[in-house]
Amino acid sequence: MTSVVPAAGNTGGVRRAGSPAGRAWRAWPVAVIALAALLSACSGGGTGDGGVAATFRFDPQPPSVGKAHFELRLVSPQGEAVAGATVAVEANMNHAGMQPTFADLSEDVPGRYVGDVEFTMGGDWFLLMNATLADGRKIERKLDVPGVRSK
Amino acid sequence: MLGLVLVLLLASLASAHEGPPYPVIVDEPHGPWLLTVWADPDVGRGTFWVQLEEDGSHRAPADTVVHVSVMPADGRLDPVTVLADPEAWGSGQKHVAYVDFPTREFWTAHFVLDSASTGEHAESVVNIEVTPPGYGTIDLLIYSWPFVAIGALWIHAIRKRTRMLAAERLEQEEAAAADAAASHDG
Amino acid sequence: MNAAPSERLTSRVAQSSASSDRPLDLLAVPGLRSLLLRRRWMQGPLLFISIVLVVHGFAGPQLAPKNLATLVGWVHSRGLLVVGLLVMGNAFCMACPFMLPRDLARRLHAPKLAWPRALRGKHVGIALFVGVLFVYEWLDLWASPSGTAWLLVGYFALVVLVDALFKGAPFCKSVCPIGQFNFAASALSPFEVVARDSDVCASCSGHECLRGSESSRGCETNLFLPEKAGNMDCTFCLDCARACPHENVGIVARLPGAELSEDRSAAGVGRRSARPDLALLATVFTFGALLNAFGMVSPVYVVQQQIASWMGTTSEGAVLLVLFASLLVVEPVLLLGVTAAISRRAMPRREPVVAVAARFSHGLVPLGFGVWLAHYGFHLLTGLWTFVPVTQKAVADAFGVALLGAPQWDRGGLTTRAVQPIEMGMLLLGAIGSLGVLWAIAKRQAPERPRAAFAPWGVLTVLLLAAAVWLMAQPMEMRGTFLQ
Repeated sequence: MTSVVPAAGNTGGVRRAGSPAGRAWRAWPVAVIALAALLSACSGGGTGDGGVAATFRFDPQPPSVGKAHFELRLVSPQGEAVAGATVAVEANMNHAGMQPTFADLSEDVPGRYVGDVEFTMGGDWFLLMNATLADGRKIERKLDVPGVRSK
Repeated sequence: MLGLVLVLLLASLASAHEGPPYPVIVDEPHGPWLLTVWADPDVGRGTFWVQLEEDGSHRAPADTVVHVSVMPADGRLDPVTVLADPEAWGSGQKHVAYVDFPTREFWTAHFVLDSASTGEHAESVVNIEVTPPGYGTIDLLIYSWPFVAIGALWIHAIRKRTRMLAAERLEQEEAAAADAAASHDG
Repeated sequence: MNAAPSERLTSRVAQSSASSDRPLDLLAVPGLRSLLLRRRWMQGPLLFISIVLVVHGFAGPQLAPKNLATLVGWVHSRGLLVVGLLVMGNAFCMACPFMLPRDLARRLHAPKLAWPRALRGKHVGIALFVGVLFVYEWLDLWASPSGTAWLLVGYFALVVLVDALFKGAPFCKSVCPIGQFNFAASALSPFEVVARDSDVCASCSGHECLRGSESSRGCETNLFLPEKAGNMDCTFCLDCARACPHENVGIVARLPGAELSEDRSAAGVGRRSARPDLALLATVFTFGALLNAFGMVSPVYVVQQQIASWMGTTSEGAVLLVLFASLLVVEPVLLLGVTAAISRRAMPRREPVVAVAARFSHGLVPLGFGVWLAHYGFHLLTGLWTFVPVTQKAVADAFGVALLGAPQWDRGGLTTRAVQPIEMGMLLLGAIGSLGVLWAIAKRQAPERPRAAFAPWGVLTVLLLAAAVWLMAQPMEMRGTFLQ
């Protein structure tokens, strides 16, 4: 099974809302608006990746708990393999509170990047793929990996 | 009865591995290597930690490569061999190998050490029982005793309080009955 | 047989402190008293954290493990809440951040209405509690930062709306689903807010603990301290302690779970046996714990697929509805009904089966608490330090500079293997507590034949324990979609 992945996710953050006690508690609605404005300014943003498509597969498919062989293909809008990129993936569970795992991929044939990704628990996972292309452009993708088996 | 239970528990301990990793080879000398292997042979994925230390005056070659082969002890399947990944480990060397154990049974694990620079070669074989992942009954029984001890104290306190409240109730009822009798007599 | 009010009052306080000569009193610990009585230092930071969660939930990355709303909201806050209940008492309500906007709203609009009599029990709160459990599964709130943020906003809005319109504290007492959870669980807490000296209360005519004083309001959930028994409806807000002119209020150590086996008439609560809503709360608390844990293990997907194919539907909501009805209605009715029917044979006074089931349902609360502890403790311990890199990342994103350093993504928690014995221990301890409480109830209800009255409940406890152990031994498998 092969998956094609759409555009990248966004980013965000927080900032201090002000003193919580005494008189300041009357100011909390203002703080919420200010925080929201700041975070909205920080979130989103394009990756400028020129429409590079990422397809991937696992062996075994679907993956099970433990290490799974991961194969990623990067393809340009013209259908050509995107070779010479540096690619790393970060695996996270959909449920918060689980430590992520990381893997650096190596290019075995032009445009195809392989490595082992470790899944520590069954369930829905996603991969955050970060690639630096040969021309210096950076691309990010969120790759969904639903239903990792518990063995 | 208690003795029978203990014997059964100990017998179970002796024949099977369940729970955390345990050593299967300890300080076994092989040429320049002093070999120790820890195993966590769970059904599904099993893990071996191969630790190599220097043996006396011999220096463990830095380019040591470790292969681990596993096959069912009855030999019905062909061996599967994996290359163990080297990891930093103090002054010695540690190699970690992950292997697939599809079934719960006895398996033979074969450890092969090679050094291209010195031409040294060594092998060691052990039989291990592969068990389902997680803790075994024995482990959980051992780990549960603090909770059982607190629970026993808790039960004792609840029973004591129940008895105390029942005695209080009885006392109140008797006092009320005595009051009623006194007022009736009066 | 009725004692005079003053005698009754003295007897209550004496009973509260009769269990030991001088139990530990947190309000008598030097330095701790002033710290606990000043509630704002706890509420303020929690309100700030809540605001951060809401803002990050809406504007931060919509990836659950990278977002503070889902991480802190579902992993840390739930875990710390049950740990607080285990080691102290209703600590979450004590530091409740929802009270600050609520108090602000009341300054702007003083409540004038009385909370409708028909809604005064726990039914609204129980319905909302079940509703939150349902929505959590249906909308995968654990994986949805913005959904979690909306839930928080909704919570704040509901608090303000209810308490700005209605007098007293109807939100805390009858509406708040977290509050109802805490009230049920705090029966197992080792501390209770009580009057220290019965003689002081007996001679008190002001009753400031209930009515309030010039410096502080009195108990908003109507717990008259000398007649208070147990932690039900007590938010540990300590208004009573602030209002008492005699400094006669303490947070005193007591026997966890003992209140569940008693049937005294308590101020503001009444008798447990006369409160079917409290029995319903105990039942939902216990079986909801199993349901919530069932929702995170792999067998649930097989069951859901079977229900979906049996119903011929692909609607996850409909399938979940059937699952909830089965595990929160049908299963408890059958199990409690059959067990109560057998148990009542040993009782001298043949109460209806429903009444027997209601009395004994409180005895299952310790086991339920054990399951909640095992479940939420698992998430807390395995993800203990995960908030560190997520906070670092959030701050770096907000300010453009890594003020807290580069995110340390290798920060996790204990391994699942290390946590498993703790999970099992909590389940075991909960079951032991249930057996103790059920035995005490059996002794009270069937003094002649307590063993016969207890036996079926003991069997039920062991069965539920086995189910909980089986659940916790299953591989966790959090999935968003089960119908494919």
